[in-house]
Amino acid sequence: MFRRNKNERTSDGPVTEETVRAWMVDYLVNKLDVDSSEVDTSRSFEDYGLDSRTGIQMCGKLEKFVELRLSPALLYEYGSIDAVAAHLGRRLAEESTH
Amino acid sequence: MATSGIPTSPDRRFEEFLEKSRALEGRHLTESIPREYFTPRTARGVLGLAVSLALYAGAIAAVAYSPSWLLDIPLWFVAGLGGWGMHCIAHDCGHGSFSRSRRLNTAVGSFALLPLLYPYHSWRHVHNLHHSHTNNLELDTDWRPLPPAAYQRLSPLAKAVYAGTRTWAFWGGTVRYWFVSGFRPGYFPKRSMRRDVWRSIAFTGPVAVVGLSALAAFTGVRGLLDYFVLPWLMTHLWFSATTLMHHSAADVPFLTSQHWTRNAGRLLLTTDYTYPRALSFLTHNIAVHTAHHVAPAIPFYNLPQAQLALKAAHPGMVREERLRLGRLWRILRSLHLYDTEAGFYTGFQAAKKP
Repeated sequence: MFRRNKNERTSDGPVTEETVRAWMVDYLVNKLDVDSSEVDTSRSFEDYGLDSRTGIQMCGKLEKFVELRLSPALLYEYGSIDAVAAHLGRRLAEESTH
Repeated sequence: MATSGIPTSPDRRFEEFLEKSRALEGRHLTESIPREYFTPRTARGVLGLAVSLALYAGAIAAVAYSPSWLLDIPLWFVAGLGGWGMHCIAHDCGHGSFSRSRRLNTAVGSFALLPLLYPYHSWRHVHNLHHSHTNNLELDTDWRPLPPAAYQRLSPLAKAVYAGTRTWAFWGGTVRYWFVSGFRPGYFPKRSMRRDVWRSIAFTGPVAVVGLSALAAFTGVRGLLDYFVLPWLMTHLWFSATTLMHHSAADVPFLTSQHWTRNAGRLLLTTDYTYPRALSFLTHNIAVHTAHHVAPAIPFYNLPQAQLALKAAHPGMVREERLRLGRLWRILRSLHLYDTEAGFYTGFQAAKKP
């Protein structure tokens, strides 16, 4: 019950496109048991064999990391780590101006 | 479901909507509302709470002395109206428009949500998510319709819940939101929100356990049903009907993030209902809703004037209708799913197409 979730934010530093990208690489490495050097951030999630259930789980964890409400269809919509990171980088910048 | 390119075949209605939305780009909507309307008068808010509490408690007390169950039914309905009115006061607390004091807002909001047993911060944060994403097909938290293909993929239970809460069991729509968000800190994306939610659960949870146990001990299961469960359900009936009607209409679209804008979400996607004066008084102007979405910090008693200012500044942009039960009936009869071609609501028959 009191175990810290390793996918949640652990520092108060700013979340940027880069930190989102790094988080997603880390998530895939842990979840799919692949080496970080094998993760190509421009490849589609399907290439990693990410099924819809894992995709929705990842989206839920990512929501906690970026602290924004996210569409469950986010990974389908943007397709790769780079595309998701770029999209969230824009949204985070927008949120910080409002 | 990939959402880019949706709606796939937008018709004239959708294009007209986008034109209106584009016309609002860059406008500061709140500037059209005089600043004095933003100032809370706490005593007026307390009076509103007292009226609703009296209605809620009075109707429940009347049930205790009612000679016939035939009289109980309207009394539960009135108790629900009282509970709903208390929610409307908590609504002001959640937006910081009950008083300038955050502590007072939290205390009053937590108390006013007890008829619903909704932890205050759970409700506040989920409601703010609704304000941030009103009628966004991907992100809204309230009454977001599913496209037919997504509906067909639901489990039988989830399908039954969705179909029920969109039709005969519409009163269960907000029960479902309560179930999903009320006691689940993990529902909320921000750590600060989850911390708030835990605090509210720490208040509402023990109050619920002690209060309901005592009620059951002194009045039995029948008392628990008569004095809490049925008023609770009736409060949800008002809650569900009101929130469903505010943002659902045949000519009000739901938008993907591609088309959704903050200003459109605040001004164009709400229907205001003109209530009879007594109902407006007892529901604390909750139906004057567009001005509320434009500027949630306006206290309920200033909303009618704020709405007039908004209409004068943005002619033709505020949707208004007289309250008629037929409107709710039309929503329940034909607005169920999201039409990915047109961008508006469609009926369950769309899920039957091959």
